[in-house]
Amino acid sequence: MSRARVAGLAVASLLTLAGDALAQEALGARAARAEALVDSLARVDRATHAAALAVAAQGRSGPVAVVLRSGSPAQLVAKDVWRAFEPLGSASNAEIERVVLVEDGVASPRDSVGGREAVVFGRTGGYESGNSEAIAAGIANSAIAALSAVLLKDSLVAAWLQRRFDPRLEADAQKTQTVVELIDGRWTSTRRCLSGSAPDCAVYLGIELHPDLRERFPVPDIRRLLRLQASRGGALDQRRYDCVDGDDSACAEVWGDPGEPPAGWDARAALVLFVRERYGADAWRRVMADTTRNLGARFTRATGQQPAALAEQWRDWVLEKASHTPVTAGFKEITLTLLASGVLLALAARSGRWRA
Amino acid sequence: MLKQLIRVQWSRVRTPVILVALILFALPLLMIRANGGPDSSAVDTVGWWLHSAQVIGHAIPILALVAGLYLGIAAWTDDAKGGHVYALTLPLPRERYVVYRFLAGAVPITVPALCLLAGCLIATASVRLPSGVHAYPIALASRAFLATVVCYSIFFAIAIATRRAVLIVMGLLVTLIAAELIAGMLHLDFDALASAATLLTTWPGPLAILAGHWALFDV
Repeated sequence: MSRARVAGLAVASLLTLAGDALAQEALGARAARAEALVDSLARVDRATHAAALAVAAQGRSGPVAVVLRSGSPAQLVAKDVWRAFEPLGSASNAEIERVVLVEDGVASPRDSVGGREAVVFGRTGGYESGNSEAIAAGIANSAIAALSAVLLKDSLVAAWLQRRFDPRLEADAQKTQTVVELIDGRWTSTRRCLSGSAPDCAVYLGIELHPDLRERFPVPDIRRLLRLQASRGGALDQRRYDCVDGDDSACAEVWGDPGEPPAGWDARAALVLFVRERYGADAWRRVMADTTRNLGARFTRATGQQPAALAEQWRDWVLEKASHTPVTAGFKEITLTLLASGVLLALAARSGRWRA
Repeated sequence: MLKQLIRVQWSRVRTPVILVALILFALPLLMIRANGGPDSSAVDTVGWWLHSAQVIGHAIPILALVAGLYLGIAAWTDDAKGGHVYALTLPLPRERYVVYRFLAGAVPITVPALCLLAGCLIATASVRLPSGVHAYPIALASRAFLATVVCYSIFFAIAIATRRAVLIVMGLLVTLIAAELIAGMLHLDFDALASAATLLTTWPGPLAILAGHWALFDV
């Protein structure tokens, strides 16, 4: 048994015992002791802490294995350790780069990082288990999920964001979906945002300083959407028919305040990611600490940017990050063409037809 | 001799090649016109341009395949008519003759590729794309050219292949289908046809160039 494994198991046992013991104590005492425990373990760094917080924020229970990706597999197993870490604070300071966290389906930890049979976050399949990079990405997503869970504690942000992140999703998926939504152009602000209008991006995201429901959801857009619904065989009630027929007040009644901005959830989630990446987790703390009942004003104070400027930065960031491999005709394609043509040409030159 | 072969080959294939070239030239321009034209408000059309670029982009590898198929078979039409006797009577090695035939058949590919490039450049110049949205006219035309060359090479080799070689290829295909059917009957998690298709259309498969993104405008 390697030294690293012995050390890992020793630390794992220590954490297990500590976790069990901590679970018996009061919340505050547990927090203090858990923090002390984390600090005392040289191999448990800030990322591990954040990973544990990520699990805590998701409210997961059961055995948790934290595997350090660097070096030999040192495993820290702590049953119910999530409970101990829960009150330590926000996971928004997560800097997960070197830690893989696996919530295993069985009590005993596994030696390898993410074997085929490993159950990641209590689920199998779709995680590319066996690929530590993929699991690591899952952990990073977990930290973001934890952040979103913290954000939902604020009523204004909760009304805007609506739901937390799913740690199973790749963070990039949000950006790609946002681009799809921008191209789809459901609302005027959506289309104008894609076209580069920064103020419209702010309206689209619902972070403008002076929200106007009819600017967010213009009557012509509502009418167009209803027409589209009708053309697809959707049933329209009398009020909707009135709206389609040109009654603006009926349109306004049909589409009252939905509580959410024109931007879909993916676009809003992308803003969460963007602010976290560009302005740090502290920016989100400032948003949360602010008591103003206007999200745009909060963002302005937290990031030092006007909503339009922030939305414009977000737009550029999303388009850049979501940029998939564009159409290419580089070295690889030329090599492939020459190689394929060469082989086929050689085959043609050696065809049996010439000998027939 | 190469010049003569090119001339004869061009006279044989020019009508269909020009037709394909015109279609490829028109595709990017139609995409712009169909979405309100370059003069319409960019506010409402950028999304449409991106969407249409994706949809119309799918037509380009199909046209490359069709052009490659036609040109590959047409490259040997004259020789096939004479039972390849003419080629065998020429005072030059057959390898060199095959290369000449290949080049003579491949030269017309440049016409549709250049037309596509021209269409893409005009379409790109006639729109004002916002930041974050890019146009790829040169890459698209170059990729279309390379894809056509690959398809042409495949059908060029098939057209000169013996009946035996064709039967071997057909046999392989039938084997794959049979394997697929048997796997289905035995409820095995094995998709032979899909696996073969993946092998061919993903790098370094020869048909990988046909797959991937073909959009003129993209983020």
